[in-house]
Amino acid sequence: MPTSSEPAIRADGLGKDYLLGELTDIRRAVRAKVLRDRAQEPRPDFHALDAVSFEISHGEAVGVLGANGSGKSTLMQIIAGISTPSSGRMEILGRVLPLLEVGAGFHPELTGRENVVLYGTVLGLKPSEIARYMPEIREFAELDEAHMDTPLKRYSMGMQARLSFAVAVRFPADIYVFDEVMAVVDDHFRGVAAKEIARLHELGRTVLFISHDLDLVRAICDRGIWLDRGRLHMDGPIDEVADAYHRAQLRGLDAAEAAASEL
Amino acid sequence: MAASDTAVSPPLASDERRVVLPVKRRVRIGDLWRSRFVALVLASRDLKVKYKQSLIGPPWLVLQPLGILAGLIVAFHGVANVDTGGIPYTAFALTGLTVWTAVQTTLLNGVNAFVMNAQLIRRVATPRIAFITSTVLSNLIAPAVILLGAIVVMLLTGTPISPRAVLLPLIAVWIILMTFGLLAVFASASVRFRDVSTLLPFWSQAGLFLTPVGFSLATAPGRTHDVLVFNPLTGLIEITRWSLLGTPTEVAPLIVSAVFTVFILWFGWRTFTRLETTFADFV
Repeated sequence: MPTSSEPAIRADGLGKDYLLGELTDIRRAVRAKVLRDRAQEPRPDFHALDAVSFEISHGEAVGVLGANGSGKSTLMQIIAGISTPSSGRMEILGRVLPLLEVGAGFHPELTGRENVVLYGTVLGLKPSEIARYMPEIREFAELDEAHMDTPLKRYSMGMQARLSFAVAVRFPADIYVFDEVMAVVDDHFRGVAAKEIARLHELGRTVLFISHDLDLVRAICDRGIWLDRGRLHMDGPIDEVADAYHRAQLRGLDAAEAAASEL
Repeated sequence: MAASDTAVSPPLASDERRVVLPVKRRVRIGDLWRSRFVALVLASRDLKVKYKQSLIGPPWLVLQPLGILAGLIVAFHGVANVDTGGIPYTAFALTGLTVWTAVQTTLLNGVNAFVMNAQLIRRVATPRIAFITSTVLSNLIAPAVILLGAIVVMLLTGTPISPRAVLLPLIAVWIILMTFGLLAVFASASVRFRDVSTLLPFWSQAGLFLTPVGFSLATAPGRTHDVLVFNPLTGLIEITRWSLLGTPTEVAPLIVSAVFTVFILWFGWRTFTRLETTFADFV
């Protein structure tokens, strides 16, 4: 039986490259396959993640900071088991419950209840477990029984978001991942959701939290990881990392330029 | 490094340990079974969604093949007057249509299985093989209804059902295996090349005339006969008729079908497992 004293996530030199340009190009395909022309220009690629290493213990709440395109979401996709890295290695102990987009994986024609069953099953939960958590999920989503039996397409945006959050915080897991999901809910529910994420942390669960709202990140997390253009730029207590990140933002410079100007 | 301020961590909800490496393949055969709950939920989702906001609903399962059957009757029975060896034409055509529907509708419905479920692929770690299995499962009902129709026609017309019909479940497994392999190839390839889903409807329209659905292999003239033998669906239709209607069959198309099934299962699994790791990036 593994103990939770082992790290929840350990990343060693993790890298992820994406090809740029149109993926399917008949001229390239013909040249490569038919004419066997190996000398054609290599496709430009983009290092979304570049030699990223860190260790996260069970029970930590980690805020991942960085500008758009810094690799935050790519890292979360790899942690969630959705995407594979191009290099390096990662070890994960425990069940990961990702909320990478509000309403992701929900089907508009299915009822709220059917969607919860679908999501739970995809996460690897047994039908009996899903049934056990259904009342809690319904309650957290602030939905009545009649709405749970209504197709999702007739929900308001807020109701869909609440159900999506309810599933992401109430199903049992060890590592909870939230990728920029606070922007689409109203102020009232944002408070409820933030409190709930803090509660997961108090319960000793591991939380990975991405948000551009630095105050929220400080409130929820105790550690910060700053990614800059795919590289790990800073890793430390959330206040230090958030302060440094905030200063860099204020200067209107990104981290690399800031470093260069200090030379 | 900031240590957690929580004194004691709770027991793990799952002791699943995952090692993530830059691998070319990560799916194992066992994942077919491990993902069974997901496949069942996806299959039931597809069935539920199919007839939502539909006036007629599931009776379409009967009405749709009736339309094709009418076409077959006019073309092959009325115009070409094909020889069925004494079997009522309707029963003869419906057995062919059972196999055709099993393969063709599954492929048409499933070729975009990954593309249409992009959200579940890009945002949730859904076991991807489940999209193939669920498509195969949810598309079993349509051919089953047609097969039932063939049996009803035989009973109504007093056509004897061959005792070899007990082998039908085995033949169904054979049909499912070939369909699974074909779907794995087409659905995986269409993530990278959308041409596949453009090509497939055209291929299936042409295929109806190159497959002995509305006529029998035995009555096809020389050159045409030799071409039909190499159609992997011919063997499946021949053995289904052999089993239910008691008609004789040639051995050559059965060998072609068997060899093709083994090949397509290997090739389909290989294509799927190789492309699967990149689905989230390319879909």
